[in-house]
Amino acid sequence: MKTKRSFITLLASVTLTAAAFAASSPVEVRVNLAHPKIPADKKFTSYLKVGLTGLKQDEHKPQRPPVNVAIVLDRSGSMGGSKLENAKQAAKEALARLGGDDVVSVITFESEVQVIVPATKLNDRDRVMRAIDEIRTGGSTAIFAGVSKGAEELRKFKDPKQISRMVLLSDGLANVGPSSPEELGRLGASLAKEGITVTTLGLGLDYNERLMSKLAQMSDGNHAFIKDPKELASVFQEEFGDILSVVAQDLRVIIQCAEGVRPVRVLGREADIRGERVEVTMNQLRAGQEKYVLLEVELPAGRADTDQIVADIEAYYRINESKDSSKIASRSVARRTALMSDVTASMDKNILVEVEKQIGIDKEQLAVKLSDEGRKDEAEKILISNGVRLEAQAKAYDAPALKEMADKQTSVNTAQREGGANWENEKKLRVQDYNIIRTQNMAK
Amino acid sequence: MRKNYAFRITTSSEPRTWLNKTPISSGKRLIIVTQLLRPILFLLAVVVLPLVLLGWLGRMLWRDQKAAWETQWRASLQQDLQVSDQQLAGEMERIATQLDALLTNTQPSNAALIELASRHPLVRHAFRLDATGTMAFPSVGHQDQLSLMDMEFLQRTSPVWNTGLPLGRGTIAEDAKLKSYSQPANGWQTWFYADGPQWLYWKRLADGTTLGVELERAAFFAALIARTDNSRASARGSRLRLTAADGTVLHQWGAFEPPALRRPVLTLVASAPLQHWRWELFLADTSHGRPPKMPFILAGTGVATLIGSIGLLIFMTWRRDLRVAAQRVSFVNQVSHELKTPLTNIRLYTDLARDAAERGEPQASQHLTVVQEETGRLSRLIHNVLTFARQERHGLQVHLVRGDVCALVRRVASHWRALLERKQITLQTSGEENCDAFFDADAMEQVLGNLLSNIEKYAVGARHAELSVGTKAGFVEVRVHDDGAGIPRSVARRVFEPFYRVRSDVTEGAAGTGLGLSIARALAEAQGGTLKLEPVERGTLFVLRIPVKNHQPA
Repeated sequence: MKTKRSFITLLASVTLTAAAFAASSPVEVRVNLAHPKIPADKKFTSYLKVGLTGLKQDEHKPQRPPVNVAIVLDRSGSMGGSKLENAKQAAKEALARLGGDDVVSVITFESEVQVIVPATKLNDRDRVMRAIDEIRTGGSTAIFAGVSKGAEELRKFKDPKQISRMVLLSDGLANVGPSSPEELGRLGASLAKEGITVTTLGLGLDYNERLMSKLAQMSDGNHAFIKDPKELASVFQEEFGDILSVVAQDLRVIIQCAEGVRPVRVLGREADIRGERVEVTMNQLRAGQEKYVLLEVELPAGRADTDQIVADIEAYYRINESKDSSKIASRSVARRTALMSDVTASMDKNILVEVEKQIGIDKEQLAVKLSDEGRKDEAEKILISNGVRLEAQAKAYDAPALKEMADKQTSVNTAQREGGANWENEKKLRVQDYNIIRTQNMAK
Repeated sequence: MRKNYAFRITTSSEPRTWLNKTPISSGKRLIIVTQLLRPILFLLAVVVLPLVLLGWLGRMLWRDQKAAWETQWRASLQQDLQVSDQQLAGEMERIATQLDALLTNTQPSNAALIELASRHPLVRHAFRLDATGTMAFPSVGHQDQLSLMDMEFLQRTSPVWNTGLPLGRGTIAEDAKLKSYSQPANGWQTWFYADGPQWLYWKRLADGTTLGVELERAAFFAALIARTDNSRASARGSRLRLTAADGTVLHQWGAFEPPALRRPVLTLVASAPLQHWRWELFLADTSHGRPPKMPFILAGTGVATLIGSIGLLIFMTWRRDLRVAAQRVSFVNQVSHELKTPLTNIRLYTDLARDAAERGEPQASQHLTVVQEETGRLSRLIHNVLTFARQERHGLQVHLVRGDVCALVRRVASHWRALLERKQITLQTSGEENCDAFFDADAMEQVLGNLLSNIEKYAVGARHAELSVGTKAGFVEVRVHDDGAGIPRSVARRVFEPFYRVRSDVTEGAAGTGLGLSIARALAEAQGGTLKLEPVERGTLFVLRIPVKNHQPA
């Protein structure tokens, strides 16, 4: 193990190119600057994208490490009928993909919380299935308690080598225990520190999408909106596929900006910016998935035709089988040019579009917050200016996605203002936003 | 003359009714009212008063019992709540110990504190104060070194630094979990921010530096929820709640869902540093708070029944004695009248007979017949009274002699025929000519006389009476049948009781001691026979049976 780690470290330390790549590493780090060429003789703001991609693993690789999964099901009264039945069926089908060494626990909640299956190895599969079959609907919705108990079950078999994942399914508004998105978010953040990721599945149109997405976001999990209970099976399959294909955990990106370069903010993700040092953590990375950091940087003025070192980047991660971290290092460098046309020609439109999306969502969420507080006029002003800006940028970068985003936001918010709220569209929008905020996507 | 006689009969019967018909004087009314009141007063004294007393005592006892029971019940519930609270306090202590160890093992460097916050799930942020109590990390003095999180932390905790006497200095030390006689070296600090209480845990090092962490509240809640067990609450069919000061439910245990406005059975303020929280207990079934009613009901019913029965027994005995006394009084009255009436008639008709004899009128013999009849009646009456008295004292003595019942019946009939004819009742005899049996002739005559006398006195509207006699299944059976109004079936059983007289318009006017049938039956039975009143369509039918053979030991 030790030899392996040193080997990776050795490899990582010699590759100081923009696109670091270690042949045996399951993680690929790409560092891109929105403007590889920057104008000379003036301060300039650009965006640094550090992308981590999980690589598809060798099919013949030895057995995957066991996973530790907690399924937390809402069995409140509103889950009655096809919803709960589909959820149970979906959970059972998903569990069929796990092996005897995997650990599973099942927790249900309504006005109180019950541990239906305490964390146990799946070798007695029938017992687990029977326990799931016996779940019946009850009263209100104690999401907080459900997540708390779920986490406790995951802790029982906690092993850094394993992947710990909680899958929370709810269709309602939390009404027992701490119930604000902020508090659930804080819980998510705390769980993330323990390496527990919470995936939240919102079923139907009545759940609190802000609470559910916040919890997932802060714990680095997934969030999905499921309109039809029939879709549950495929969503569970996808989620379990996700769990089983995690290639690295405890990812940590440290961006040390060069002298004179000021890190302004990280878009989407939570980040710790202290002086010139920026630190971002991610819980898990699955094969074929890209998670990235978008850092806004302010570059100092300098003479034309000189190199400006932007930042040294270090990415740490732990592969499943190992207890120790591996590291990949990289550096980003920009070239100053006197010609503005060079700047424009060289710029990475994809990053800029990504940035615009982030800003668009930030503005929209600010508007929603203001609207919730009763400041409808301010909210509307922000929405209108946001729409105008997004449309302008859509033209500038030739990016129809931005136009699309503007249109959706406008329609959802118009509908809300006129009283005919379309919860389905709103929830779809939130899920879409979620993946943008998470700055993650499936690698092409 | 006949009319005259009838008139005299009427006048003679007048005094018999004075008891019922004389207007009641005011004095008498008072007596009657007292007599009516007496049983009511008696009931009040013997039954109602003890019952009321019993009820009152029971109520007092029940109230005491209930209060005692409830106190005990509450104490046991309180104990349960305290167990839960101790569990919570224990968890809090565990967390404190954990954080203490964490702070002990942490280098007091900025980097180490940042690392601490980013790694430990229960820590939201960490800080350091220098020996003077000034914030050294995160420091407002080094603005460029502050991260966004640092700034948020400073904003959140500003009430602690601005207003209070933080971290064990001054009065807040009272809340500190671990106290020492000098200044506490570590402890909790509670403050309010946003939606409720928040907690800091701090530790003062030897050099005066203070290290501390801001508790990640959500994780802390989650830990409490995950670790407190809820089996206790569920087992009781109850709902246990931990609520914040604003009434928000932090967590709840137990399957019982209390109605929206239900007040908790019991509340308990959580131990410091969670004193802003409250335990609330709801119960589905609060009946355990009351002692079982059954023993009370049973005991009460038992005693009440006992008192009631004793009361009733005394009351009935008293009533019977009263009745017997009244019967004896009325018996004496009746007998006096009965004796007086024939005597009056005898005196009257003797006078008439003497007058007629003096004047040589032929009616004399008629008058003497009446005198003779009245003498017979008198003799019968006295005979009855004597028999009754004898029966009361020694029982009846009969001398059974073999003889012909039929002949006796015919003789009695011929004797009574004239008497009945005077009341327009014809008497016929039928049946066998000879029927031997063992019997006492005097007793037999008295029985038949009493039965026929009843017809004469009471058989209203009767036109015919029949005496039939015959032998049947070892008995000589004498049937005495009239076609009068009959005896109501409801009282048929009582007519043989001594002093009992059927109350009706007929008996009101007629004479009688109420002894005749009673004595007749007693005499019949003394001879080994029976006397029964048998139901017939019209009139009254008495059947007398006398055994043919002598069953009495000689």
